Amino acid sequence: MLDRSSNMRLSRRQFLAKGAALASAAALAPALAACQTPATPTATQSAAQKPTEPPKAVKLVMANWGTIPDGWKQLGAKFTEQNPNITVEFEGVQANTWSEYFDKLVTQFAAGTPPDICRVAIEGTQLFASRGLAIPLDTYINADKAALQEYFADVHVNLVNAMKYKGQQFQLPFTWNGPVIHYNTKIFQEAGIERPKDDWTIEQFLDIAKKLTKGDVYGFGLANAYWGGAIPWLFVAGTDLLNKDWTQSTANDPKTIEAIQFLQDLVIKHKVSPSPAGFNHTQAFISGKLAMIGTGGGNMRLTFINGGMKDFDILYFPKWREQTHEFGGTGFPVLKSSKNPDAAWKLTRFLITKESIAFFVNAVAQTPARRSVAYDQWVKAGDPPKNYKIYYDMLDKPSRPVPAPPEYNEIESIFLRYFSLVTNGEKTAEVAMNEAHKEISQVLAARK
Amino acid sequence: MDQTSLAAKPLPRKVKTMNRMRVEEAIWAWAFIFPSVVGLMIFTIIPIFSTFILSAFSWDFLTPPEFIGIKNFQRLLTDTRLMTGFVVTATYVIAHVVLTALLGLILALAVTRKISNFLRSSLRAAYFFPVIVSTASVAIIWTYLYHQELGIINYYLGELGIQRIPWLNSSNWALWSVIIMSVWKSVGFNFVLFVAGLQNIPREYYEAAEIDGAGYWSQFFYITVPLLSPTVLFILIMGLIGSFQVFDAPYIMTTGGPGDATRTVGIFIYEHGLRFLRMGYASTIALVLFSIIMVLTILQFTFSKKWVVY
Repeated sequence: MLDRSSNMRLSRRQFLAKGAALASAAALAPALAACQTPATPTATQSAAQKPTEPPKAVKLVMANWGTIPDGWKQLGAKFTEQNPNITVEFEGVQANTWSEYFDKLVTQFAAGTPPDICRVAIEGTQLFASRGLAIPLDTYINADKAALQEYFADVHVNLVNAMKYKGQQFQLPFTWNGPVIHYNTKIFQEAGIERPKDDWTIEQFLDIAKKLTKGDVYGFGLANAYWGGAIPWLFVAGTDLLNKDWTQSTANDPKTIEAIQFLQDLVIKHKVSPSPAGFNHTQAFISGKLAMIGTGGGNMRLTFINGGMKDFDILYFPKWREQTHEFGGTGFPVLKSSKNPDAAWKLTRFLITKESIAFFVNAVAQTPARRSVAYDQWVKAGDPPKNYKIYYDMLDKPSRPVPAPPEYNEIESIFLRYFSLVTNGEKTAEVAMNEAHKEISQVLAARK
Repeated sequence: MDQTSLAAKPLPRKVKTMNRMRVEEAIWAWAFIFPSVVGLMIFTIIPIFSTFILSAFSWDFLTPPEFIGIKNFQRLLTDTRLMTGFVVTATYVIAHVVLTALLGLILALAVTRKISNFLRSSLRAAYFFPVIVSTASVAIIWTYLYHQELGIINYYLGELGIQRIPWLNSSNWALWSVIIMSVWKSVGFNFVLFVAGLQNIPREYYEAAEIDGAGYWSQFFYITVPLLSPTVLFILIMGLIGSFQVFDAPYIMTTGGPGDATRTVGIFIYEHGLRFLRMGYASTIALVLFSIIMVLTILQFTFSKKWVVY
């Protein structure tokens, strides 16, 4: 009898030839598997519409963007202390942007494994509400009206209204963030520039940015971003990317084009801002390479301080035609698929108490939705910025939320695609915004 | 001989042992490959079939799929942005496959020359090191290196009197910047294959050629190249398949921009499927990409008979 192993022995070249064939078959598969999806979409449950008594032992799953900081876990433990029958499991969803985070949450719905409650920014409020993923909270709010009175008195009405969809409340504000101009006080002092007044103008801004641009230090750092990048400049220019009810594009509005052209000029013509592509603005501001940066206080104040940067203060975005400010915010939609909506509402109620918000924002960099916390408990004595109240007070000025209809993910993507061609000088603002307008209009027209 | 007597006749002991051994071997073999087969079914085979089916549907994950026939294919044919994506991908594939193959061969030839063992080991480690580092990490680092005003590459180019290059900022440069990073990242893999291929060519062939008076280039073209041809085929096929599916490097470095300058078909599939919730259309693009890769791979195998020496 022949030894079987001798039949199976391959020469090196045979091995390479067969190996190439096998490997190519295996390697081809991911091209298709890239589109791997769960077999069937999960039916959502309608039973959760009505508040019901939570079962005796309830485990809530709550999703949040990024890793779960200890602050969350400690809050979860405190909640369980007060509600021994409810435990909270936190689920960190890794993403680079809110829109990526929403994509992943939606995928969890499709896979039939959604959380009970999640933290969602205004950018996703309409997406979750319009797709029927979240339940309106009005019934719960009305039932707890008396107890919530103190909360609504402490939270700016603009934040509350921004979390409504078609008149119904889908989230209650927990934290929020509005872009302001952070500036390096040391660079200002060295250049002999005094802090401008609150109603400083766009001309003053450009003048200061030019004066401060020297060597490898730039007067301003423009970000290739939607929230906090381009949108605040559209607002002060008296325009927006979408109309008031976010049903039509205004990307081709002459004022929008003018504002986008101004941003291109900052980089290409005046050279007061470095190219936004691949630029780490936070690090550059901390290391003194940027004199001014437009960003939110909530997510950046502690990052700057922890990075060793203490010589900074803040200003409102400068006045152009008007001085309207942009903001975003986060809250907790109770998801329609949750089997324990009452328990999820209880958790929301717990998270929006003064104690919870104060505990959270002191552990994690966020602007509190409650004015009392923002004024009294958020910024430690002696910590920058000196004018920290501006972080919250901007809501008292004309302000409105970041334009975020249900199609936010796609609109942001279209806008940034064209904006990148403006900031690198390949397209004029007029050409780019006219093309963006066509695409955004198509997306909005396809709304069912 | 009747059946009863045949059945009653005991089998030779040796045959019985062999049969039992084969059954046992088969059981063990299945036991070992079972987890892989399950994984393959769940993560590859079923999704492949789902992709075929989904390409005829409109599905946003959240509402039931709606049958739309060939509408996704019709849309694909008129999608000018996607066509640009195919051109970007094809450029990437050609440049990446050719450059990694050529550079891998040059580096392998350099290392297999008579140099000290220490230098040889050091160079091998250095060339192979980028292969084992995650693409995400190196892509982020290269993004900083490439920055137009504050990147270290432009700083040194400036020291040499060369104007700053808008590496990731210009539609003309961005794709090439991604290709340069990807080639640097993956050339070490081809290098290792070529080193193995070169070491397997018997020294006697070169000695015989030397005796016959063949110079370095003659030896290279008449001995090295033909005997390396199976390795080259392997590298070309693997390179082509891998490069067509490119996603991570351009997504991390430029998110497909500026404009659509680095938006590969892989990024289009991801965006349509998971960002804009158009699973049907994403599946259609994936199917077309699959077909292109399959046809090219078959062609490579067919033509390889003419130039590969086994």
